[in-house]
Amino acid sequence: MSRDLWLLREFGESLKPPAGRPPDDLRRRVLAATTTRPAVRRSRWFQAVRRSWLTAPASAAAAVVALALGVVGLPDSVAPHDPPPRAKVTQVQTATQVLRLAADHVAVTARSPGRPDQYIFTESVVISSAPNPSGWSQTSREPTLIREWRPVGGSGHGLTQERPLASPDAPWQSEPIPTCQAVQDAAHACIWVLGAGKPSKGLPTNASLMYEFLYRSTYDDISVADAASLGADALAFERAARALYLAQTSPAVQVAVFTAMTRIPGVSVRLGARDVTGRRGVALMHRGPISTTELVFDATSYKYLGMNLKTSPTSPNGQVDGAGDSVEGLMARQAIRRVAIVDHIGDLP
Amino acid sequence: MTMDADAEVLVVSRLDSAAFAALYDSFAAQLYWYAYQRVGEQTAEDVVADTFLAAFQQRASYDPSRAEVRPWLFGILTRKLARHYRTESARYRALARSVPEFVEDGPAEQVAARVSAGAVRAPLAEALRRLSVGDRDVLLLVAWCDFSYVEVAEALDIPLGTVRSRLNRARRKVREALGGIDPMIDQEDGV
Repeated sequence: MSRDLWLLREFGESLKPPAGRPPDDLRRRVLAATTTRPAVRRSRWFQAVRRSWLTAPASAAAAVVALALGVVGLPDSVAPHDPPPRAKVTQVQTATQVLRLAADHVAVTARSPGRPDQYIFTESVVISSAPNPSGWSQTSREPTLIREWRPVGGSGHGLTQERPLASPDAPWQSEPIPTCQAVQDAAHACIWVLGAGKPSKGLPTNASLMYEFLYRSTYDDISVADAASLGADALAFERAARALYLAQTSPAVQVAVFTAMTRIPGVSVRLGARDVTGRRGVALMHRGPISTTELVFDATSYKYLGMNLKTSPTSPNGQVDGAGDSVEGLMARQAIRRVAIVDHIGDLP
Repeated sequence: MTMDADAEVLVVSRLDSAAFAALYDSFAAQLYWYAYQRVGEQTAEDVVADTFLAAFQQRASYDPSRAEVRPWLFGILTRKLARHYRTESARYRALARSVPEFVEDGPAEQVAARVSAGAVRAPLAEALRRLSVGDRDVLLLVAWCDFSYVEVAEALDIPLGTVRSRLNRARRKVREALGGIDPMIDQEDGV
């Protein structure tokens, strides 16, 4: 570096604030002005939540959670009505701890699963890479806002809508979700399949059955060749993410997933993970030969936030940086923003 | 189009204002340090707050294909700092008059470097005060924020050639101010 620039830099260093970090008041000041939502929107949201509680017996959700906890015997689980755990991020060291805390969160925040004639509304943000002939491109598509309405009872069709997140005036691209009866897979008639959008029904609520479901050898969601290259454990981990996405209104299914996941080998904890919307949390990570999957949980409540899917550094499709070293590349990132029970397709909470 | 994680978060914050908090946590310290260096503590806090509020209001128009988030934010900050021209000038004037305090701990080379930098503190402050606002913006983004020429061009929304010419001019003036004091300054040292 030239002498004049070096002296300027030294001079600049001497002018930096002694505390080294911005005042806490500044953060509060900025975020208070930028994260306040319009009062009308907040009111509608609270009404929707309250309605979902009132439309079904309050004991129903707690009952299924208690049943699931009793059946699967998740280690060290708290009772369904205990206050939510408030563990710090740094206290979590093992995947089992994270899964237990996530199950506890589900237990204490269980809500109505909805009536059979209602719909599960799920809003998520997804960013994915475009595959190219040589593998997964690191070029990401625009973030996409996806809204789904899936029938609680599985007897009617559902609807998926999506549009670029940054283009609120863009038209929604709509695609129907077929009914359960239209799906030919007899064993798991209503499994949600990436890209096909089949509605959720019949996902196991028992941990042992869920484990078998995650490790099933019927490849209804992936080609046999892809399943072989992915590996059974990595595939089970990805399937767990899909089951969690579908089961946002089913605490029993979620607890079954968390419990079954304790048996998947090679799962590690990564602190400081972020979902695609920037929410920070703790991630459970599984690195397979082809891909690395992260399930991101809120670092305080352990609510499931979403998943990140990347090519593994060792993958033949992995990215290579300027120095020729393998790096992880983006395949897909999904963040669940809102989940609610609504009366009709098109209703928003 | 390639977007880094910060750009993704900024785009997402168009829909979800809570995502903006993540952006604040990523960049607040850098922006605050730079503002503090230029205008001091009290004004820095206001300027950084104004910068984030402006960024929040302008996030819908952010184009990730034109600039990364960091230059975009520093561009907003620079425009906010321009309104405090007098405060900044007064700060440099005060620094030019002040006597630096040396903490002479550490290896001899580091101590010597600090003493050397301290000795030119007054002429440096005076030289910065005398620079035009545009020249100073370019020089300090390079010297204090490690911006590349391209990032400076993105931040200030000026052509790359203008960045080079402003930087050359600013460095020449700084070297002239230091030339008679620091014998190690090379008058012929190019950019």
